[in-house]
Parts: sequence; C-alpha cells; structure tokens
Amino acid sequence: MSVREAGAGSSAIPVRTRTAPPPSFTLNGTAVSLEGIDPHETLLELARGQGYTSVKEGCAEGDCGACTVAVRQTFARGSTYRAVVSCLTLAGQLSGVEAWTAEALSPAPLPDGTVEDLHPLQAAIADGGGTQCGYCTPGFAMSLFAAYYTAPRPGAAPEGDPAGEVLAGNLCRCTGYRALREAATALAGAGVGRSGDPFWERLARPMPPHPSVSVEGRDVIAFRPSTIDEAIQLKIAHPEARIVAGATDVGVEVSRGGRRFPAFIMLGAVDQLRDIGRDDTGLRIGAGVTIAELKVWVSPVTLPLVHRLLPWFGSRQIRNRATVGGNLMTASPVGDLSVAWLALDAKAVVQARTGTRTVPISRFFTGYRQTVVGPNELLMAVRVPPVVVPPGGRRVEWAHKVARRDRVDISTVVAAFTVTLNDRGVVTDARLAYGGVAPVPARAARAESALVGASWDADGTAAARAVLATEFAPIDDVRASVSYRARLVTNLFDRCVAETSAP
Amino acid sequence: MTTTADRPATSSPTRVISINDGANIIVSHGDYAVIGTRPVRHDGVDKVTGRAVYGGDTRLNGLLFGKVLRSPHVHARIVSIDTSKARAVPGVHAIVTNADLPTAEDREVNLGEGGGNLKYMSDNVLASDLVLYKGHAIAAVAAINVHVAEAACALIEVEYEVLPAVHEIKAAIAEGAPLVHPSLTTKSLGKDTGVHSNITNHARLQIGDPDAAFARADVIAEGEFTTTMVHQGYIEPTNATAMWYADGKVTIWTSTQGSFAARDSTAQILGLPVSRVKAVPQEIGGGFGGKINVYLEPVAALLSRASGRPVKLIMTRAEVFQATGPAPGSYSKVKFGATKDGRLVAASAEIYMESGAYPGSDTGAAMRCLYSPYKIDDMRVDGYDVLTNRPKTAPYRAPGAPQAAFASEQVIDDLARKLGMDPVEFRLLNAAHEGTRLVNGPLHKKVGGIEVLEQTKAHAHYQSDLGTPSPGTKRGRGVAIGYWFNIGLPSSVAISVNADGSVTLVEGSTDIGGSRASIAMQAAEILGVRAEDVRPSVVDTDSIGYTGVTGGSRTTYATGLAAIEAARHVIAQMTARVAKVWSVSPDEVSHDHGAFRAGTRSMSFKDAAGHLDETGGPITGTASLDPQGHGGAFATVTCDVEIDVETGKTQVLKWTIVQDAGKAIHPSYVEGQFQGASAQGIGWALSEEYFMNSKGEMTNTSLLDYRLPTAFDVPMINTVIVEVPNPGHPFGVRGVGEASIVPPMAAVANAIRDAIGVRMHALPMNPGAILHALGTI
Repeated sequence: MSVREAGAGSSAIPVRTRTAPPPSFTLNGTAVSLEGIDPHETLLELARGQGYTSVKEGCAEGDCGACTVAVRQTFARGSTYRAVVSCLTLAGQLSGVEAWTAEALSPAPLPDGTVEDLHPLQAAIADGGGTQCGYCTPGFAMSLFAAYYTAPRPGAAPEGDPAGEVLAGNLCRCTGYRALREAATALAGAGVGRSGDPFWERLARPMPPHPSVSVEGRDVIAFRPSTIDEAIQLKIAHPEARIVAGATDVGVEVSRGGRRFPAFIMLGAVDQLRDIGRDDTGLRIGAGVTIAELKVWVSPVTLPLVHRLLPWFGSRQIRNRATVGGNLMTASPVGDLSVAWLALDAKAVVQARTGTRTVPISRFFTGYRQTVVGPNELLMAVRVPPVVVPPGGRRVEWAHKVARRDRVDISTVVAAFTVTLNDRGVVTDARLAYGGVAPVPARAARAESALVGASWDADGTAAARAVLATEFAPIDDVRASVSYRARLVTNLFDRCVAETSAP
Repeated sequence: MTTTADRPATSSPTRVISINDGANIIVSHGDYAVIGTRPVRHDGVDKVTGRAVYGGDTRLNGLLFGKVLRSPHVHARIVSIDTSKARAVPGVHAIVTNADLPTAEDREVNLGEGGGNLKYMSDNVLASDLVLYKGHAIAAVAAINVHVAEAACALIEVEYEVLPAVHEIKAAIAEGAPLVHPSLTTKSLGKDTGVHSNITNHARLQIGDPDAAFARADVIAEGEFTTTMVHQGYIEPTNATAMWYADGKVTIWTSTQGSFAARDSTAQILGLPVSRVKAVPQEIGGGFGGKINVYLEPVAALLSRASGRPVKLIMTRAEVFQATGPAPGSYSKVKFGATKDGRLVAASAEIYMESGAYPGSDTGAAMRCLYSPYKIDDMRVDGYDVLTNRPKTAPYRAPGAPQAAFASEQVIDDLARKLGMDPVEFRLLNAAHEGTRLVNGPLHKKVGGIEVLEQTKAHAHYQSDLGTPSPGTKRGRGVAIGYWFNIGLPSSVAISVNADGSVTLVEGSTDIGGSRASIAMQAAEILGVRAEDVRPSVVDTDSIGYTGVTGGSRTTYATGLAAIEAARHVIAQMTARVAKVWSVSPDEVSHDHGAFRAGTRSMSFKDAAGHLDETGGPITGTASLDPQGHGGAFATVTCDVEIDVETGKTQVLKWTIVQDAGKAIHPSYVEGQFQGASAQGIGWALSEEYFMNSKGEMTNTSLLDYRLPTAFDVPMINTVIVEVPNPGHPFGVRGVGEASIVPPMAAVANAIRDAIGVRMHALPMNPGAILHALGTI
C-alpha cells in the first residue's frame, strides 16, 4: 500500500514516501487503518464493517440521521463533539478523525468512579418511551450525546426551539417526538463539567494537528493537503479530481448515487481556509468555515441577514459538515447562503498560483451549477463589505426561506434583501436576492433600480414591486409550481416591506 | 381457583389520572399490580445501546449480497432478458429471473389472514411477461458485494415494448383508459359484469333507503375529495436474507410484521410446503403495515439456491418508495343529510381506491369505517378497487379508513357549520353506541365513542381560545373522529418457569411498538410477578405455534390473551405442585397476587418455583388460540393550526388526541402509539405524497423530497387514554395502533377551513395547495 504525504509548508507536489504514517482514524477509541481503503467508502460502511451496527442506514443521503455519529472537533482552546451523518462522511476525509458510535456510550463510568450499565442519555431515552422500533434510536442517542456535552453559549439568546434543533436532523416515524423532545430538553448541556466522565474530560485535550495523509484505494486516491499551495498544485496536477470540503453534496452523489471519481482533493486539513476575521475591508469568512462555526460566530449585530437565515440551513448534522465555500462552489439555484451573499454585495476571494482575484458574488455563478472559479484556482473566502448608512438613515436586512419543512429541506423560494434608507426613509440602495426562481441565485436588478428614490412603504414601493413581479421566470418541479414560486417573489417582498417599513 | 385478574374490569370505578401537567390524561379503570404501570420495555436497553439486531445486521458465514434490477418503465412488455454479460462479471455468483420461480397458478391462496392471487404475488416479486410500474423487479444478482451486484445488474440487457399506462384513479376509470390487466373484467356486487376495465371490483353496503331519507333531510352537505399515494415511511429499509440448504430446506431472516405470514407467502411463491421454510424474525425498524407482504424473501431464497450460499438483499430508500407497497390514493364523493335539529338521517358515498398494479385494495375497510362513528338509519356506500400502473398497494395503519375519514369528517364538519352547531356537540348528538347498526350489518358491540367525544369536549385544549396569530397568519381549530374495528387472529405463547421464580415467555408476534412489554405485563399480572421477572422472546416459526401478523391492532389483544391463557396454564400446574408440597388437595390451594394459599399457609410464586424439581420437574404453560372478542376503537383529534397566508405554509400549533384503548397495559407505549400516528397524520396531511411526473414516475424518491415530519413539524402531542373496557378481554384491551391515524388529516383540514374559510378537497394540503385554495395563485 502506498501513502502520499505533503511536507508541511512544502510547495512540492506530494510524493510517495515509505516513512509516512499510514492513514488512520479513531473509532470508539481504537485506531482503524485506512490503508488501501477506497476513499469513496463511507464512515457508515466502515463503522458497520468494524461491527458497530448501531450505525444504521435509512436513506444513504443525510436526510434521516439514523447513521449519526459524533466526531470530536477543535473548538475554542479545546474540542467539542459534533453530530455528523456517517453516510456522507467519506473515508478520504477521515485521517485523524475521532469518531464515536452508540456502542461506546455504555457501560458508562460515573463521576464517583463506579460504572453504570447505561449512559444517562440512553437511560433517559429508554425510561421515557423515546424508543419504539429502535432503528433510529442510536442516531438520536448520538445527536443527544453531542448536545449533552455542549455548554449553552454564554449570553446567546435561547433558540426558539432548542430541543427541536437538537433533534431535527433525525427522523423518527414511531414516537411523534414528544418523549425525545423531553429527553433533549432535560439532557442538553447536562454532561458539561461532569468530572470523572471520560467523554467530558477528553474535551479538554486539543485535537492532534490535521495529518496531511492521503487515502488510496484501487484506481482512486484522495489527497488531503494541509496548505493552500498544496491544494492548488494538486488541483493543477489532477484536473480530474473532485474538490471536497464537507462532502454533504458530493457524499450524496457517492453514497446514494454510487458515483465514482478518479481522485479527490479533500480540503478539511487546510487550516488557512477556516479563519473568520474582520478588517477595514469588512468581514472575511474562510471557505472552509462550517455552517455550524459560522452560526456560532454570527449574531444579530455582526451579520443579521446571515443570522436570520442560518437556522433554516439543513440540519444540525449537515451544518456541522457543510462549509461556506462548498455551499458557493456547488452553485445550487437554491443555495441558502448564496442569496445572503448576493444581498450583502459580498465578494468571493479566488486564489490561483500566481495571485488572488476578487469576484462579486453577483458574477460568481455563470450558469446552472457553474462558477467562475477556474481549473487552477481555489475559492479562499467570502468578503462582506462594511455597511455604510447615510447619517440619520438606516439599513434594512431581511431574509426568509420558504420550504415545506422548517428544517432539513430545500428552499422552494428563498429571499434575502438589504435596503439602505436615508434620513427621509427613501431608498438609496437596494439589493433583492432570490433563490429558487432562476437557474442560479439571482438579484432582481430592475426592481432594485426602480426602488432607488422610492419611499420604503407599500405605496412607495408599488412601482418597483410591479417590476419585480416580471423579473423572474421560475420553473415547475417537485417542490412547487411556477405560479406558486412567482407569487412568492412578490409576497416575500410585501412581507419585508410590511415588517420593516416602520423603523 | 380464581385470580384477582379474573375480576371483570367493568366493575371497578373510573378515575382520571393526569400526568405531565395534563399533557397525558388517563380515564382509567381496574386495580392491577402490573397493568397500567410503566416499566422500561424489555428490549429498551438493546435499542438504546444499538445492540438490537435488525434484518440488515444479519451476518452469516459466506454471505453474498444481492441487488435487484428494476423496471425503468411504468408499463411495458418484457420482450427478452439477456443476463450473459452480467454473469461474466467477476464476483457474480448467481442471477435469477421469474423463469427461476415455479409457474404460479392464477388462483387465490389462503395465507392465514386474507390471502392473495398466487400469480400476482409471484409476478410482483419478479415480473414475468409484463412490468406494471416503475421499479417492478425483473432480475436479481448475488455477488461478493453490493457494488459488484450493482455493476452486474447494469449489464443485464432487457428489451422492452413500452405500453400506454394509467397513473391515477380518475384517468384509470375514464372511458377508453389503457388497461393494466386487459384480461380482467369488473366484478360488481358479486357478479362478473364481463366488462373490461381498470375497476376490478365494485362493492356496496347499504342499510335502509338513503335516497328516500335524503328527501326528509333539512340540511345536506356533500363534497368530493382526493388523496394521493403515501408511504408508511418506516426508517429501516426493506430487507431479507435467505439460505437454501442442501436438504431443500430454506431459512429466511427478515424484518417482518409476521414471521408466519412471511414464511407462508415465501413458501407459496417458491412452491414449497411450509414445513420446508423457516422464518427467523429479526428486529424490525418500523412497518405500519408495510412489512407484511414479501418482496425480497423469495428472491433471496432463489439466489441462495443458485449460489449455494446465504444471500442478503437490502433495498435503497428509492427502492423502498418505488417497489414496496405504499398506501393507496383515493377519490371519494360523500353526502350526509340531517334534520334541522341536528339529527343525521341519511348518508351516501362512493369511494374509489387504487390497488396499484394488481387487484385488491383497502376499499372494504374504508367502507366499513366511514359511518361507524354515527347512528344513521339509512346509509349506503359504494366502493371501487381501481388498477393503476403504480406499485401494488399495501396496508398502512388502519388501511383505507384515513382516506375515507378525510372525506366524511370534512362533510360532517360542513354539516355542523350549516346547522350552526358545535362540531363536537353535533358528533355527540349523533354518536354511535352499543347496539347501533353498522353499515356492513352487525351492531356495534360495547364501544367508547361517546366517552371519547365527551373527553374531547371537556379537554382544556378544546376549551381554550386560539390565541393571537402572528402577523400575516390566520389560526383555526379542527376536530375529527375516526374508527377502526381492530382484529383478532391466532396467536401462540409458551411460558416456562425458572427455578429462581422468573419466567421466560416465548411468542410469535414480532415486536414493532412495545408488544414484548405489553404481552409480558399481562402474563406478569396473572402470574403475580413483576414485569421484569418475565423475559419475553420473539422466536422463529419452528419454535412457537402459528401466530398472525403484528397488525390490525391485534397483538396486545390477541397475543395478550394467549399470554393470559398460558399464564393460567402455568398457575394451574403450579397450584398442583404447591398442593403436593403441602400435601393438600389442589382444590384447597388458591392463587392471588403472586401468592399460593391454603388456609393460613402461603407460598410466594418464587418459592413455589424453587420446589419444581422435587415435585415433578419443569413447568411450561402454553396457549394457542384464535380469539373472536376483539373490540373496535374510536379516536378524536383536536388540532390548532396557524397558516401563513402569504406563503401558504401551515404550522400545527397544538394537538390533542383522545382514544379509547379499552385498557392501557403500558400507558407510555399507548401514548407512543397515539403520538406516532399523530405525527404520521401530520405528514400525510401537509407534506407527504408520491409526486408523479407526466410519465407516471415518482420524482421524490428521497426522504429529503418526500418529507416525513421532523421534530420541528410536530408539536408536543397531548394524549387522553379513555378506557372503556372491551368485554372480549379480561383486562378490557381493545388495541391502539390504528384508530389514531384515522382522524388527523380530516382534523387538519377542518382546522384549515376554520382558519381561512376554504374547504380543502385534496391531500397533501401543502403551501401551493393553500395559496391555490385562497385564490392567490
């Protein structure tokens, strides 16, 4: 078996070396070798192959949560457990990962040094009637596990439905969720500070650095660079390779669709892609930042539009894996964050070997599932310019996602608006972005122009609204009809005006 | 000898127990030691630790993995199948087609409960000459892993002659529609009409003269309603593993609602006597009616015979949607008439239900249930089974009744509105009770419809106001009632006594929602031991007497009765042993609350168990029975919705389900049934559907686009367990699994009507449908 390794900071294309450590990950505390493993293989398959059959397949595309496992990830100065769907986690991403399944939870050592047969969260599910057929139960247990050891964020406003947030990525067809909700409410954060509990105490240990180790199966290799330079060089050397960030999209192609790729470039070890920061040019959000990390960072003050949209994004398990960059690069017509970036006039930072260029998001998508990022380039970050409000004026930031379900659903229509008003309540600048009404996330350019100079109320915006009604030509599909989507374009605008016209 | 548990449950006073701040209420009767308590289920630890072994977890030495090639066409003739390229793929061990099945006779076979046409069953497992729906199985491959099997499937060359198809009921019953089975003729009222159509059967149930009665009605309400095909949505995909041994015996390991049903169907399709097939039930990850029929078991057996190795087949989610049996869509016309003082006097209805690719739908049950909540002297219902080029439909929780109630309970709501009456008062005024005539002829036995409606009316939810809607939304409240008759069917239980005073209980009912606990608890009550002293095991078909499927809300009732009988058999034997120890006549020994007594002497069950060795050896109590005393159950749903009139989205804010359980053996698991069915009902009402394109292909074959409700879509569901004892069971058990899914869709529709003033005529009531109903799109 061969292993490829890139030396830290090296600018050379990774080469084979016989001294490199073999790729491996930790599953329930035991090292599992990835040598010779096809990088397409999923963590679901690997875990079941190791005998951990609590990891159940219900859909193979991240929708049901029956295969949920917990992975430990770096967080603040220590680490945290995050629930992820193992069906969308590819072997090629796993080097250095520490994963836990329901089998590991019991017997559970207690703080007083004794051992209890069941982990408290397992006992709570069993006692409260939270399991019927039991097939989804280990997945629920692992979602609860991550919540159990996660402290509520200090000062954060409580979410509208915290128990629902913990559970929304796990489907149960038997219980109607009441007993599980009660368990989630009782258990969230209950394991924080539980001294003597090895799962809690482990969190103080930092994660080992990301190993830059490739996983190679027969006729396929997954490179896992640790620097931007390496990643770009690999991309140039392997134009056939599929670039993977969180794998929540490509994982579906592999896991459900049986798609095979000749090579992967896994970006999960490139720490430079994971920064969020602010400077005089505004915010810079690294392409490798996960939606979960972004959600921790944003607030109604830092980025109100994004803050408003993020709860609708996938499920907790998907948010723990999906990245800001992946969400843009997949170029979905209904990308929930894409509309936010459009409305915020954000820019994509794209790096080639020779330098960096900045592309407004409004020019980023070139067609259905296509972007401006070239074969020799890598999306580095999203930049959000600072907000400039005229003296005495104000800025409206508003977003709404319409989907049949509040979580784990694709937008039927998603809208994100930013409107700047002067001291007289007149629009000086407007950006109206929509997803789900065109082949790419798009702005209503003519309506935006028509808004400038209008007073921000129902009467003042009527003319622009009439333009807006003709701006898009949506399509019929499994999620909605043309007429529904067309109606939503103006209805969402009306709702925004109604909610925000009075300061 | 008598036991405390033999006391008739009806003699004890009713008491109301409120739990969880009133979220769970029990209107209870009886005085028991074990029954009505809430011990942790016997399989609970295995399930929370992930140790429970489901069908997909089956591991056998030399196991091969299979994949099924399925039709890409909705309707086509198979001209030829060439498997030669697929057979050449390294790692492929076997390929089978319908040619490997014995020729199936075109005749009805008895499968213990109901039955079916053997040719249709066989053709549905592997298509012979025609594929009748997209996803219809054509061939199957066994290989060293599923990837090789998939690759080989792709190399099987099938030549098709594509045929015109019918995709839904109205098209199928239209004049000149393409015929799914051109040779079939319509049977009407028991006679063959000789007419070739997609309507395979027309049945009628009638009491009195409804046409004349409508003339006497002061107020009439009527409507037409459609529901779309939906899936049971169990999370564990359909699976089967089989080994065909060299002695000609076959073992199947499968996640099934009925191991004997799986055995019998597999044997029939394979042309084997049942003695050559053993079914080993694995843990089952949800079924709801959808895991009764066999899809993969005979195919796995054929692949095993051809390869000489065990073969496992697991469907993908898309296969589960396209190739198992979903619940039928329906088209109904319903009309009710009442006098101006609110008395129902007449009812008529026509119900069309699709059976999918082969004859046989849920129409009969729908017809039996739709008028059952009411006392109506003159009523008629016509039912039609309709073929379509879709998967053969299968039971889904109270099969047929929810579709019928979606229609009838909306018309009842309209009638109450026209009369200006409170919807619960109107239902109470007309409520069926013991002795009320059912449309299929018999009289209602003792039933709890009135008690359920009274609890509904009195509930804090019904008495509360709707609260203030969020901006841009409207709120409404709806109520509906539903009925399910429940069934009996045979069951077998064996109980063996251990020297330490515990017992093992062996049963044939697969445990889908807590029946190990509810059956063990009934045995414990009779034996006078704790629930945890009973160790229940669900065993294979060679290890226990015949037991019907876990379905029809029968298991806690019928297998419970078998457990009670087996426990009594144990007590009778132990009484004789205790008499031997005390050197008295067995007639002098009684058993009460776990203690044997004679005069002043007393011996516990545990101590008595310690004397078995010296008094004649082990004791096993057995019972196999076919009970006939099942009792029907009513359920109501009260729900509050908030509708965003700009997006059309409906959010369920509040939900209370009231149901007659007869007796709740384990109240938590009864509440779990009510809550689970409610969540399914919310999905059926608002989001779930088989979304078909113009070619009749399902386009939402993922859970993402099919949209089962998540925790976010379901409110905290309140329950009221009403206990009106079923006289046919010593503890009064009725069965609780199904009645609870009958009223939800109608209740949501009535709430939407209340909120926005528009009557919804079709499911699902999704955002587009709401805006359409509002006239804004």
